[in-house]
Amino acid sequence: MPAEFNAESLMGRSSVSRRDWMRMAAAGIAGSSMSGWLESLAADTVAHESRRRSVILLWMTGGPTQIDTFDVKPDHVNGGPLKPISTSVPGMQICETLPKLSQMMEHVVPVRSMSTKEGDHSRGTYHLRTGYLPQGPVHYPTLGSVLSNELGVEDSRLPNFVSISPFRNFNPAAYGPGFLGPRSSPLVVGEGGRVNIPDTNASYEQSLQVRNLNQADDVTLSQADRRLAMLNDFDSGFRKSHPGTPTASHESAYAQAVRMMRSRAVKAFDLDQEDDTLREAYGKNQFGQGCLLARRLIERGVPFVEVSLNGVQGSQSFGWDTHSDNFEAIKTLTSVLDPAWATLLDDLNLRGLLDSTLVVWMGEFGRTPRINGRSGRDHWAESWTTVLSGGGVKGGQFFGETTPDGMKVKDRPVSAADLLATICHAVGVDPMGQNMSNVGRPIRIADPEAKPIMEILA
Amino acid sequence: MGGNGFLSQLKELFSRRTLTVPGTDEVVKATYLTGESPQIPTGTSARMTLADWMTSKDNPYFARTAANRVWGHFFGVGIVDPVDDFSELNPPSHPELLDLLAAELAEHDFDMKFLVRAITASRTYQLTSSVRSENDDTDPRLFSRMSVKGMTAEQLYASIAQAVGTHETFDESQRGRFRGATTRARFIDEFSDSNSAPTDRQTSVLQALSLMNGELINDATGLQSSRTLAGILDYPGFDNSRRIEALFLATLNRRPRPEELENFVAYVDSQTASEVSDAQDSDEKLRTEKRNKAVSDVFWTLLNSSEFSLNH
Repeated sequence: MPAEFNAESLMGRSSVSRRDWMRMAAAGIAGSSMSGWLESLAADTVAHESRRRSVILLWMTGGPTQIDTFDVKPDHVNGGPLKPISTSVPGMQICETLPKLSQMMEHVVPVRSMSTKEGDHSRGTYHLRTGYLPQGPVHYPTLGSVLSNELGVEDSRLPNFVSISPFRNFNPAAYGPGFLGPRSSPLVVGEGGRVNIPDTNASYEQSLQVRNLNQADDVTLSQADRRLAMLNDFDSGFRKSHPGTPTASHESAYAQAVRMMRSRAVKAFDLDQEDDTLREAYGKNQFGQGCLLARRLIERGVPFVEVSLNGVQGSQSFGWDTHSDNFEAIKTLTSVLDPAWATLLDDLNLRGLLDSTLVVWMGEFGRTPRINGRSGRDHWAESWTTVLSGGGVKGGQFFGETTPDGMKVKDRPVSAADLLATICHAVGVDPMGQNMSNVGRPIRIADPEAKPIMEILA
Repeated sequence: MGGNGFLSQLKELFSRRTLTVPGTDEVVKATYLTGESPQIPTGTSARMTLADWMTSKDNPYFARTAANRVWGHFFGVGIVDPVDDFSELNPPSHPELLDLLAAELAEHDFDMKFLVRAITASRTYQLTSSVRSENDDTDPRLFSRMSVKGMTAEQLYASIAQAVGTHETFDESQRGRFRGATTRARFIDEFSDSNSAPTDRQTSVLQALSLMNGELINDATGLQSSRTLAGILDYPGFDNSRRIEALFLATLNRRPRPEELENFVAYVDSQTASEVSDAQDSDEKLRTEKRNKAVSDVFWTLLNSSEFSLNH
């Protein structure tokens, strides 16, 4: 990030020098038109929103195995070679693949009775990320859009929804704002590829920056200001004569973009400000640093951040889609996941942010309990695990249980809509709240039939 | 990604006439929407039979949905809106008009060009999008003026390419790729919005950042890289008024209004004059550089304007 924008970003306001003003006024461009966008920057230092609840979604692209993480089956052949370990909560055992997280279990609730009906990547991704089935003309929003819409503040300095390294190809619509429209779409940073281990060339650092945040190198800051003022002035006529959603949205998107460009809050993306020991603890790879970035964004009031783990270089599988050599792949994947997640919980806790931040772990489905001929596990939606951790939930317990072979849920199956409704309750959002949809009918945040898991809510 | 499993599912079973609802024992038979059972000759694809039924003149739905879809394409709002949502709960705004269009379309053997000509020749289609006292109804379904519509990613890219004089030739080898690595592919990835009706299309913050600071617009307005700008700046005999007029024609396809022209010319003049005279420097080359930079600011402004990026 060019230095011009950091320390001097506040100067940005005064860098429209008096001389510039005179010139622009002389040109008949300044005057009232300057007020619109640049004036709102002054509010930047005043506004300090009171602490609200937020969500970090750790999205496991490809569908993560439940047995080799949270639903251990040591006494059954389906359990496979990986062993259970004791945790910081007496009586709770999880898989040896998550040693660091096992010491944070008092903050963690694995929901082991997920039971859904979509075993296809595209449909499963849509189902879990929206809480609805992909059908009919309604374009459901992804949960990041819907929750940031509820929890966020309009005119905030940073966007209300940030998506870090998403892999969208399974189902692009599952990553978008649907009927809520682009004003609820995520600010996306990071290309959604695999994580390199070890990430020696630090390519992840560039990829975690916001694209196009700074004016081009050959444009000066004062020139950029003049352009913006001129644009605002020129556009005002069209806005009056051509009102409507597209026109209003064009104006507000530019205003928000300018606000972010000139805000100190964009320092959130400057990971160099963090202590190197902490950066190491998160893991010096795109996912680990993505989790660190998530904490920095939450700290600055962003209500929803998602970080995707789409795979690790060297593993045969795509993401968590471990059809073959599951156990080797899981060791590699969890070597990235475990330190990042455990450090995230610890770091949030130390900063007093954990009570107000829900950290969700999930993918589109689980993996078959039965191990296939290639030491792999295939798609499985019948009985699998998602995890809620941190704020809003009573950690240190399992919810739900599967049969000894892992093939069935014993009781209280949890649907995608149930999970979404539970997440809503954990952050103080009414899941029965409504939004107007693209088909002109209001649609509830979670399906009206959803039954939130009240037992695990704090 | 799960091998090539999904391709095998694309193979059609020609003999299949029933389907079991997943997760249940319920078996459903192939039936038309009207409730009748189709006669499917042995060995014939049920899909083909369905396609024949769908597009037949006797199908009460096809002509109406087709006509409505084309209407929705041109107006941004369907007579039934959204265009996908035909149901009793969602009646057409102008049922007689829809019936007429549907009947004429079927009558003309579903000739789309006929329908397109009929719609675009209508007075309704040719109405202004500008708000006047006689057309300030707020309900777009009354069609009292043309709606302001967002452009698709492809339309916006093509508009910018046209305005700035760049072309990305079609690459046969890139056909059908998930996403290419070209400027156009990146732009379309960033701007695609398949979820919204054109009249509800919104701009995201990332899109605004991309248009303000991204390489496409920056190259387009860069003094070294822009063909349109170079052509306008170097054209013999052009003064600043003519230059600005040319930029308006390239971007907005209209001439500037007098007060717009006055403002922009004053801006370019003041930028050209000011610092030069401060520095007591009358070097012609420096003046030209400053003027060019100011003209590029005008170009940037027009390319970022809502008038440019919205269909109105």
